[in-house]
Amino acid sequence: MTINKQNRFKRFLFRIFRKNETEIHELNYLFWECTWRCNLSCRHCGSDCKSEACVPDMPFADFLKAIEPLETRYKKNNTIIAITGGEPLLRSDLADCGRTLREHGFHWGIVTNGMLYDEARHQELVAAGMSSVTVSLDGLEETHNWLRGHPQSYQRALKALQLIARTPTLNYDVVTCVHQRNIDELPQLKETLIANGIRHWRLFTIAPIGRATDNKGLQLSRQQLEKMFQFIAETRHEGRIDIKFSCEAYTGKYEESIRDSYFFCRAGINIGSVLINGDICACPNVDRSFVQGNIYQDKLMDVWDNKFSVMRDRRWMRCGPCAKCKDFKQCMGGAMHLRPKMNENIRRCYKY
Amino acid sequence: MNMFQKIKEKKQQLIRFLFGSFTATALMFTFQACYGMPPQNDLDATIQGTVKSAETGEPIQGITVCGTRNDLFVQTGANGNFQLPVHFGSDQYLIHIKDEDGTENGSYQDLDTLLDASVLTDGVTILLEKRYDNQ
Repeated sequence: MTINKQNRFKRFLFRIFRKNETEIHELNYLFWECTWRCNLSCRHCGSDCKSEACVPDMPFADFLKAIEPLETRYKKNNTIIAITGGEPLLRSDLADCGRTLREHGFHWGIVTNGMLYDEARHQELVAAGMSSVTVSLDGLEETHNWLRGHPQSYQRALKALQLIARTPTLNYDVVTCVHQRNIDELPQLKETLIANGIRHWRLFTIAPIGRATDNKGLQLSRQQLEKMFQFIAETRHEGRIDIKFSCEAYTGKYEESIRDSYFFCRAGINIGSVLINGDICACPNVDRSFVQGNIYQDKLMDVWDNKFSVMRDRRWMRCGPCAKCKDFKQCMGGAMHLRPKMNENIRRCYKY
Repeated sequence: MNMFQKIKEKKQQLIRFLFGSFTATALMFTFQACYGMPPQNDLDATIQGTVKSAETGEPIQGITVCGTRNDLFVQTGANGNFQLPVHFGSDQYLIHIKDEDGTENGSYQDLDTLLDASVLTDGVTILLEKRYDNQ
């Protein structure tokens, strides 16, 4: 891999920036895993959510009590609450929760499969101050429905996106989990999104975690992965749609061409989570062996200030294939969700 | 907090300031978790108002109302009303009013108007002067 002088200098500056942000470690992005209920049963899911509630939804009052100290610690609107699940729209009190979060100075948004996102729900959530939303669309109709296990899931997700895309106060994107069945559909899917007025598109791969662990056929080969990176780079060059690769992995020579900024796993640095049982961790797809505390026993800000060292000092990740990698200083061991456990090797390397 | 910690904090904030001010790194501060939704956009308020003819006081349909700090624009409805999402930010906000829909509803002069924060609660009525052929 050769990197020109200009990009080498940019990467150098970026590392200074990243080191500084890690030292400051401001909590800017907090997930709230509000439910484990879900109305789909997808073949891949970073969460281990179930259609039936084996774990009760977390009462909103418990979550609010845990995050109230953030109001005095940080300036207003500093932290955004990402309401996730399960499927957050299954909570009938979602708009009430959101409205209260806005009253307390938090921006908030949801990650949804779009199944229950109709005009009435859209109006209700926007009126409650929702400022950001992500909808999953995993291919053209047949492929999406196959992966999501529901014959109407594509149409409903698309309908949700049409509503969202015409609302200027909402920041949004579509996420597509790219896998072996839909990689060749990407050009067509791009045209579908553009034709429906959708302008922000983020591509994921399916990590071997959660339910996808047992479905190895979903994961892209090295060749397919590079094909996806090339598609993203070419589409960005066209400029017809704002497309990017999610910040899920360091990609080597593609770092400058497939995202707006360099790979930086901010789990535990700027990103925290309150999980369904009150556990405090980073992103919900990070292995739960990395849990740092629990809101029912600990104070969220105490945990944030005094723990998370495993995510802020990642030298322990320099093991296995990462031990002698020249790119480690740029990659810092990759994304937290790709580490099965402490001191274990990375599940997959995306470097080219 | 001891002296060493204070110096360290100042240094961290200085580095942040330098990155924010002198490099194109705004994106570094507005990140997105790989598993989550994008950060909020900065539209935190809505200006509601009505556009009317200064001459007759009648509402005017099809007038374009643009914000200045983003690319958003809206058009007035049949009753001259509009709702424009904005990032108000400071004490005042400049909007541009343009008649771009032809002469069907009459032809009116463009107008730039500076609004203060009271419009967020009280709304605003904007009066447009007629445009004549020689203008």
